[in-house]
Amino acid sequence: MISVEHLTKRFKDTVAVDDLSFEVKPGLITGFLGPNGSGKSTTMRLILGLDQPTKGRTLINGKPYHALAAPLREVGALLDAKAVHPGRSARNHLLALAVSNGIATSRVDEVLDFVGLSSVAKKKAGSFSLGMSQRLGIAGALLGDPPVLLFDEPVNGLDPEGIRWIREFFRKLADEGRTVLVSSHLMSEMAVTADQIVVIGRGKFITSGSVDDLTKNAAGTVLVRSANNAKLSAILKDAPANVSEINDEGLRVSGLTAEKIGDLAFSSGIALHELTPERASLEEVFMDLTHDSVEYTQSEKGTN
Amino acid sequence: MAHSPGLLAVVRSEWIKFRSVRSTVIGTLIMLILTIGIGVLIGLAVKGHLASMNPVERASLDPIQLATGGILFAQFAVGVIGALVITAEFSSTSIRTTLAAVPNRLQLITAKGIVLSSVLFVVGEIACFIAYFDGALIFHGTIAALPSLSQGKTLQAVLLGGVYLTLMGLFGFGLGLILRQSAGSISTYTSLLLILPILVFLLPSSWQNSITRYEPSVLGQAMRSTTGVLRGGTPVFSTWESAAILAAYCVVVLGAGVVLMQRRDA
Repeated sequence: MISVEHLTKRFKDTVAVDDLSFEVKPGLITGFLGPNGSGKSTTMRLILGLDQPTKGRTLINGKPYHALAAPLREVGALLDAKAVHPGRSARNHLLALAVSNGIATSRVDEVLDFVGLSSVAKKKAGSFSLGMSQRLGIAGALLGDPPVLLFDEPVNGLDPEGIRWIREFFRKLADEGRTVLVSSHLMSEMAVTADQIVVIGRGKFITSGSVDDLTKNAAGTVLVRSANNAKLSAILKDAPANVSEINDEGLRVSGLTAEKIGDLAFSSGIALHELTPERASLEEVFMDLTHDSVEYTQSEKGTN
Repeated sequence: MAHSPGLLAVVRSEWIKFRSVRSTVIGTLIMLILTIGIGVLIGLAVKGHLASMNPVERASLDPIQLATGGILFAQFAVGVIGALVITAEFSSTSIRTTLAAVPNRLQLITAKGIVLSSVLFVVGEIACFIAYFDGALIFHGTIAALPSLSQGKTLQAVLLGGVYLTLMGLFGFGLGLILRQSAGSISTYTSLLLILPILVFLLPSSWQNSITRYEPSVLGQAMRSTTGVLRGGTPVFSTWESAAILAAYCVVVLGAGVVLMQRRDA
């Protein structure tokens, strides 16, 4: 269990994390979602005690990070895969970590084997590709067999096979009852990976819930085709609803349910050819939620 | 609840790190080679000129100082090693991995300091004793013959050679903690040793005499002096005053480094 309580981090003149509170529960994969620069990495650094919060606090199973006796046995983290001395071998890197937390050195070979790096264990970490570095980072996170795990943008640099491997790996960790927090700026990735999602933007909490909840509550659209699209469009706009025309074939309507649209068409005597409710994809929900909090929105000018 | 592995575990971890990277291992070897090799070169060069020395020069001749003269070069190697122990962690951002494993920053710095000073002390003493015995061979039977280790302050002077190298390594480590950059720390260290004396040289001579004795390498020579005077008559502090002043420099720089390390985000 990870608790983030009223967490605030202010750098010179920017507020990276702004009164953020949420909980990450065991047995689930929790996706930590936000656009680039929304404060995900800063929050993770604060959870690990690497940065000092301006206000608020973070707790791991009820304790602040620095109060953990052997932190690697309680929290495994992969923040930056390249946070390794490039001149040290993978094995020595893990060995130094294991020894510092009183973890049996036999565990080093176990985790190397698990991530598939045994054959390059004696090679310098600086010679590793990003994908191999990610695997080394994962090996480091698993060293102490911790009940709480944090991964910052773990799929970056992985090939499709690696991505599938890591998804199954997260599922396994969660099924074992561990607390798993995975950050990403990719909604589509989280939609297939996470059970629970926490969305932030500009350091602020936006929403949280299961993937289903988030898409269910979001306003969907309805695709309508009729004998007289122009007339129906005018009627629906008066309703009022947002109506956009799609290639003269039909209308995409938001703000009204399919039932209401059907009733309005019937009472105006317009024959309907199609009436299809479209559920918002998680991607759309995300864009909607974070639209106001994206740090740099592309300007309308200069796009053509 | 897991029992805290404690300082000893962190020391062992830092020792693995120290010996598993080329830069620190090679740096330590360079320090050994410079202390011994330069000592031999100085010895051979001086030996040829002993006969042509005037009485004043002969009077201020300190054979131990000559034999361990390689320290003047080796002191740059130990400064670089000391700085790299911490700055390499910052430049590779591996400091974040390290601090996630050891959140107690004072404990981490202490462990790094213990490993660094142990290595430098052991290798430094080996280097100084070899340099002493090389010097004894070179100057055997001349007017600069080295006194035996049991005579006067000989043993103390040789031992303090290793202590000087250890303290200078810790000084470089402190600079690394403060500056967090390899290039910045090494150039600051080098400037303090090389540029500062040049600046002091530009000052009026009365000022020079009172300032020079505070320079790290002059303190080091005073620590190894068996005669109490340096060549050229530079006034110096006594052996133990010099050692105490150098140790005080280290305490100040390391203290500042610890405070900054505790305060700053990694």
